[in-house]
Amino acid sequence: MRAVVALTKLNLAGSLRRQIHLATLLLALLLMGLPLYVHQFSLGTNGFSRVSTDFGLTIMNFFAVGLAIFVTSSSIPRELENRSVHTLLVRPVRRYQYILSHFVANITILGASLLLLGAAFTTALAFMTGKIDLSLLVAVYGFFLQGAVITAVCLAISTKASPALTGTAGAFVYLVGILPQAFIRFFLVEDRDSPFSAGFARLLKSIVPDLSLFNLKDAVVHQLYYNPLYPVSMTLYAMAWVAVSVLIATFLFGSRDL
Amino acid sequence: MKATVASFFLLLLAFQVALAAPEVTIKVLEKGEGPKIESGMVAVVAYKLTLDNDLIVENRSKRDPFRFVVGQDGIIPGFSEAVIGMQIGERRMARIPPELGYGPIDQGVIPGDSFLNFEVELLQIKTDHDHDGDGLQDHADEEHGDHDHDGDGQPDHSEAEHVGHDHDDHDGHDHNGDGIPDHEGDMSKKLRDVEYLNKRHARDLVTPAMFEYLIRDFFTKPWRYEDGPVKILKATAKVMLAFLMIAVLAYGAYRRKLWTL
Repeated sequence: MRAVVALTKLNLAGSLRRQIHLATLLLALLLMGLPLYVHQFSLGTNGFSRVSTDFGLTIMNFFAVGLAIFVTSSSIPRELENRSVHTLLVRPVRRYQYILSHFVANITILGASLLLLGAAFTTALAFMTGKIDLSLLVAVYGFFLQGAVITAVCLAISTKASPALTGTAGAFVYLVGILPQAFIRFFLVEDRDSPFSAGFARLLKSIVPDLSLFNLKDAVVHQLYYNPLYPVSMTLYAMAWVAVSVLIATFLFGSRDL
Repeated sequence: MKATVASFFLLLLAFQVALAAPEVTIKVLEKGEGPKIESGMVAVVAYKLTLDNDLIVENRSKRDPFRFVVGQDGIIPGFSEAVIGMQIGERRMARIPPELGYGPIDQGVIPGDSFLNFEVELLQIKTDHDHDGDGLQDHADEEHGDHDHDGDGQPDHSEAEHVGHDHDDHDGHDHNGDGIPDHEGDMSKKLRDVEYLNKRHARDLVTPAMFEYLIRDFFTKPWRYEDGPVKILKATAKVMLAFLMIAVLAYGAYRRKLWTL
């Protein structure tokens, strides 16, 4: 455990060197100004803050996905390429600890960034509407879980693939993962009447994590009812996928000749 | 003789069953108190609409209640029927057959011929005419010179002056404020009539594919299902099963020294 913590700190320091936190801070500033900017187009309409909330949460969603893919796809391949991994693995560090530390470091960056962005956006909305609405943090939590799953999947792929291939595969997993069942049914089954395409799409969806489960944005923006146990169940689902992906990553990395 | 009489009654019974009008099935979940609501009164209700597959189509909470004139056009007949006779605070579970609901044609996420399950609670009854829904009776509005029948906050005369040809407001013939003049009040019924839609080629205009898809997507989001957490837990169990299988394979490979921890 101590080795994992030490390696995680090392990875976090590396991320700071790559100035990822500056990108987060910049986006936080942008999100703070967003409600005021968007509100100019409200023309006095009531409830226009929903549009701002929708905009802000969409930006955070894409930022979380981008950060998860970008940071994870390059972390292990870069260390393999510049051979800094050898200096680590000659010490009493197991390979699974190395993988685990990368995962923990990456989701720490993701979590801290989303927390900062969520706080900045909530504050900006509170200034505009006069009330603090913490319910949107549930949607941000969903983005975090989605990002954690993408991070774990990308980590598994990056143990064997180059950063470019990992990034592409991560984007593919994201796009297939968010594909709603309604899309398959409506366009592929009913509109196109193409059972082959629909079957293929369903097969793809069954082998990647269903990321559409993590999207609570619409419920939060429109203040719609959802089962209070929903966030708990999506947490368990995310943990299961993370466990599978990290296990595969450990297995792939363990079987690799260094 | 007996057989003839029995056959006659059986035939009569069969006819009755065949000709029986579709009915709303009502179950009182919680009793209320005070006067009972009748047709023509304004009801303020909270409700949850679900389909037989547990999909929550709409949920209007007490914070965001629904206000309507019982028995008016534009409201599905079964819903008015379900509410009639309720007392304030009463909760009912009403099962509305498609004939008194949305009929045989798909309405966004609601497939044609769907039974609608409403859990409805009567919050308020307004006996007088408050067409614009501003909480003031119409005669009070009139006293204050507020001829705002459509409830948009603009007095009708001001709209007529500034907007010009809003005959609907000017004539005051849009009592339900749905934006459709009363003489076209049965438009919502027409939009459910297949022949009318085919003749008008209006279906594509009313529900263009993309628009229909977006509505369907919005209404079938995983969190909309009451049993959503159970479905996710089932999916989680499958993933954990995959985890166990991979772990067994990995352990086998580890024993054969094919990889290292």
